[in-house]
Amino acid sequence: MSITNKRPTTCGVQTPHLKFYFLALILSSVFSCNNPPTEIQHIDATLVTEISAWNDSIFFGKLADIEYSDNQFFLADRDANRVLVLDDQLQYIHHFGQHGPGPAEIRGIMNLEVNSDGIFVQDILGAKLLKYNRKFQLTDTLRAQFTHSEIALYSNRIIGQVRGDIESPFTVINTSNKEQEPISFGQKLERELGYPYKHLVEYKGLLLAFSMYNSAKVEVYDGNGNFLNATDLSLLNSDFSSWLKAQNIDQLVQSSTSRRRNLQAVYFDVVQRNDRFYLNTPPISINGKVDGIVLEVAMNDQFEFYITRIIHLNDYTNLPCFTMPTDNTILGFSPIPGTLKLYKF
Amino acid sequence: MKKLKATLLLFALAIFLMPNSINAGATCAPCDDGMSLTCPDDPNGTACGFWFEAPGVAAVQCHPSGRTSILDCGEGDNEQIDDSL
Repeated sequence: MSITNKRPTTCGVQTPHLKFYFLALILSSVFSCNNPPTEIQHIDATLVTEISAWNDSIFFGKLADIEYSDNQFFLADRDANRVLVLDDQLQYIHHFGQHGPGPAEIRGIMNLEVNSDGIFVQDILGAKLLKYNRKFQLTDTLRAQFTHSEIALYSNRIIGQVRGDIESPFTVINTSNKEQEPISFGQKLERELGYPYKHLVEYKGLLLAFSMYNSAKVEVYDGNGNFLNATDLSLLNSDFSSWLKAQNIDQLVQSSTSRRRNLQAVYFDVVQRNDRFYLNTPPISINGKVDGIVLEVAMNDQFEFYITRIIHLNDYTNLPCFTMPTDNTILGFSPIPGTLKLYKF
Repeated sequence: MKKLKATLLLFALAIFLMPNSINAGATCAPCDDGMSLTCPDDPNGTACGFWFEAPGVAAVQCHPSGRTSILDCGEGDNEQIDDSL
């Protein structure tokens, strides 16, 4: 596929006169505002492998999260409330975690965060985080009433979005000092957007908040929780914009009641890899073809986001959770028919 | 001949009026009091997934359209909601 879309630029220079054009070109190169490339590349991904079980006893139903770290994949198995560990060839190695109401057990597995130090498992119904070491032994349990949106882990801190709090929605928990009071921060969320949940990603000391529902916004906060900037990614691509308009978000939100909130998922999951971020959206019609897509986006010096590539999964699907073991590989969970799908692009 | 033409016309009209997808959306009904989520008519997207937000609160999502409802079923066991999904 070789389609390109022009991305609007805030610092571009327009003039009808040729001589002014050259002058402007020179000036713009001198006073450049570090604009990213203006073209969005479209590339095709190919489905390489699809897995539903490893043998008669090791299989999974629904996955809540997938992470990759140090040549291992970690899958949050929602049916059994456990974590499955795979090697980099997608072969089953081990599982840990146990279903149950106890402090060392899991009632509702949701998000995973993994670093070289350990594996954090969010139990959304138990309102806690369980920390395992890299030998899969439980080492700690932390109280955390986080939502199902992605949590961010860096050094000895975990940041999540607190359920029901729209005034200062994000909370930092110190993982090495449980006695320290959690710190709350963040811009007040817009209640009219329904459940304004955000996927959180830590990047170079900044906190990035990607909308899960009803909006395509990405917000940037500094390390102290001060709001820096927001970008609406749907404004950068006409197909994305048309799709979002067609969802009638206002009508959807207005039809909510006190016991039922209606929402439209926009970014199912967010993966950071090097200086790029990958966002899986519902299938969007591009040039008459409706495919699951992954947006590759980047951030400039002004904390503005721009779309660099649109990766077409060539498959009418979404991936509620996925990870990227390499720069050109996506491993995601496809709810229909309930399989792990490995794509290359 | 007129009868044939009329039949063809009716047939063409029926085709014209038929929705793009005849695969009607699935309905998930997670609570006993009739709250439900009807998925949009997508070519393949009719199934629903769900997870629990909190005790008594379920999130129900259509795949792949992403249409979602978060349902507060009040006090109650999640296992009961689970059964009705």
